[in-house]
Amino acid sequence: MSRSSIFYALICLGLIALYASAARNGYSPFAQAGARPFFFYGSRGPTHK
Amino acid sequence: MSTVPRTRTRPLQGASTVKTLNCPNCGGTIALRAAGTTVSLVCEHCGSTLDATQPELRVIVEANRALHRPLIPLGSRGELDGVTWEVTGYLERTDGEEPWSEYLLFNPYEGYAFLIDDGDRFSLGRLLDRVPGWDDNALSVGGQVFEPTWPTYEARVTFVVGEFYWRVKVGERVQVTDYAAPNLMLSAEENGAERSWTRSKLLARGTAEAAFRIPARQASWDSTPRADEPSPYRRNLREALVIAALAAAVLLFLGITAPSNRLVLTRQIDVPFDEKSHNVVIGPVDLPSARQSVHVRARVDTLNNSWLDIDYSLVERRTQQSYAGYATAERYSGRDSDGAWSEGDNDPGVRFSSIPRGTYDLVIDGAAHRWVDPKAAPAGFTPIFGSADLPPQDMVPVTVEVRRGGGTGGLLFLFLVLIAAWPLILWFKHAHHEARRRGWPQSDDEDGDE
Amino acid sequence: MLETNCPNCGAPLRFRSADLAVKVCDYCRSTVVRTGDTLELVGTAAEVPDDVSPLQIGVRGRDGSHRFELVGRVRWRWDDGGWSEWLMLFDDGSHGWLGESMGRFMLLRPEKAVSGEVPATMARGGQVSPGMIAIIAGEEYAVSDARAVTVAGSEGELPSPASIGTQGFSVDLNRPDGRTASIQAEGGTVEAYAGRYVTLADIGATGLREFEGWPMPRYVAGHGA
Repeated sequence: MSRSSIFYALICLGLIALYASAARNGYSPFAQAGARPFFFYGSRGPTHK
Repeated sequence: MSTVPRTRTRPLQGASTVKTLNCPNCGGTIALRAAGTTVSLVCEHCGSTLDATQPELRVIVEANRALHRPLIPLGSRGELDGVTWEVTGYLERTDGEEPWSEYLLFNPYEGYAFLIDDGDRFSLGRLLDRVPGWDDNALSVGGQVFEPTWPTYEARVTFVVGEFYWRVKVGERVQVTDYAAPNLMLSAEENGAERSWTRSKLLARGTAEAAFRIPARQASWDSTPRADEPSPYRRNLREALVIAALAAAVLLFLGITAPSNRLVLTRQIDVPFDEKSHNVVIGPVDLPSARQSVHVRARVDTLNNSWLDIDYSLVERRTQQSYAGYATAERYSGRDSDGAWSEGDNDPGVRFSSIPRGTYDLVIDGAAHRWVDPKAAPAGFTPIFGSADLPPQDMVPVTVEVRRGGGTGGLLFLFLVLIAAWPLILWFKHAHHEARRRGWPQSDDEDGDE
Repeated sequence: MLETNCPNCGAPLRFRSADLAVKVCDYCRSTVVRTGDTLELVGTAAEVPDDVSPLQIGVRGRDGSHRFELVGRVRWRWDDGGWSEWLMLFDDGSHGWLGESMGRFMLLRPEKAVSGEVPATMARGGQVSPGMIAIIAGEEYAVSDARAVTVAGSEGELPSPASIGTQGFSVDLNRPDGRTASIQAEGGTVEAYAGRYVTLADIGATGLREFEGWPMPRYVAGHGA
């Protein structure tokens, strides 16, 4: 296998892992609302009741 | 070893194949390297053509000028593909536009070969023993298929030096037709009386240069690919497609086996018309996973020529963390010159992504509004916003469904696109190379010919 | 097999096969014809010109499962070149010709069944041109070359006398599948041979001539890589 193909295979593995993680966290790229990624802090919005 | 008596007339074993002679015209020292097969010899010192079919060399065409030396000198020996070859003859030919050189190589056990130099690449050619067969529009010989290239052209000899097994002369013309395969070329040469076939192998850069000890050549990065030059992307593309297929299969498997959404809660609420703010709270919405997506669907079946503004707030009971969403439910209908029409989504959904674990309340702030077709409005009626002259409001029933989990389709699509990116890039590069190799006209290339 | 002595110079002579009645004495080059037990001198054969052919008398090889040894050679020449024909004597006593021309080899066996316009034209001394057809052993061959030839030298054991000045006419034919044939008219006789191109590796040739500075071909056991 050529070097670029090995690199691409690793990228695919990474993408699969990213997908699995995103799916587990209920992330959706087409969501209209929701939490920002976990590493963004300070997302407290207005409170209602 | 041999049972036959050695005679005084037979050459000794281990003799050299090179005979040193003197040119009958100029007296210069020349070599005869392929005695028995060499027919004509062009003296490198004076350019005279000598007949080598008789034991004594005889002048056929007298000349008196020194000839320029070929890049690989006559008599050079080099090894290609495990076979040692000696340069016995050299000629230059042209198709009227581009010149090229050919070295006649000889090995007493292998016979003859041609080393073809187009100025950039070297090819090694051997005469074929058989006539290729036609396979649709392509030629086939020994299981290898060759595709047609450019039209038949005339090749003319412009320079000759050294010895040859045919009566070679400057000005000699043949009709040549070339066929190409990856790293291989099949050429038919015809001069009226007979046709011969040569199969040549494109040598990797540096191979011939190293074998015959001449300077290596630099590749120019934007040169048009030769007809027999395979796309350097083909192998990578194949590998990338395999990897992409495997990755896509894994993604699809993960996507298909992912748990689908679950209904957490469904309530019917009433939304009034034209109030500025009207909150309804429904709950509890239990979200047990560390993070999950939440889908809120509002079905408004009885909507007609009206719309609903809906503001959602998903508020965690303990932390008061809240996530906002917005949807519009609408439905309009009427009649015009084309007949009845209706439009609008009266069943909108909102997706909240990555909501953390917790128990939530969903605060629904909804307001309904009527829409009046301007063409059907009474005179003086101010359009759309405001309905002061219309009858008092009803309440619009809305069925709210809250679901958690599922909905990974969009994500799956996004990642499949990301995976396809690299094979797509390779495919474009490969297609571009092949288009230039085959000489199809390029839209953004000025010199995309040949 | 007949072991005898040259009637001219007394050197040892050997006739290996009754079919090969002619032997060129290796020492005095007299052409000796054997009929039964009697030997007859019919002239002097010209010496084969010096060349760099890898073949020599004594080379052994095989055509499939049939083994042969090269026992004789005739060197032909025409206006624009020359070639050699080496006589192959097979284990079963039959013979054939290994043609050597321009560095390529053709293994040819005699064929009696020959018909068509080519042999007919040759028999009456007419003009043969490329494209004309001959039917040999039931298959069609097309003429690729036709030329007037003379013998330029001979050596070893041969089926018929071949001395310098023998005029003949030689026609090369081939088929698209690569098989090749040769029809030769000499004196009044027309003879046909059919076969194919072979390489030295194809026939597993052993006993080849060695040349200074040239490695033996790779297929030869013990030589090369």
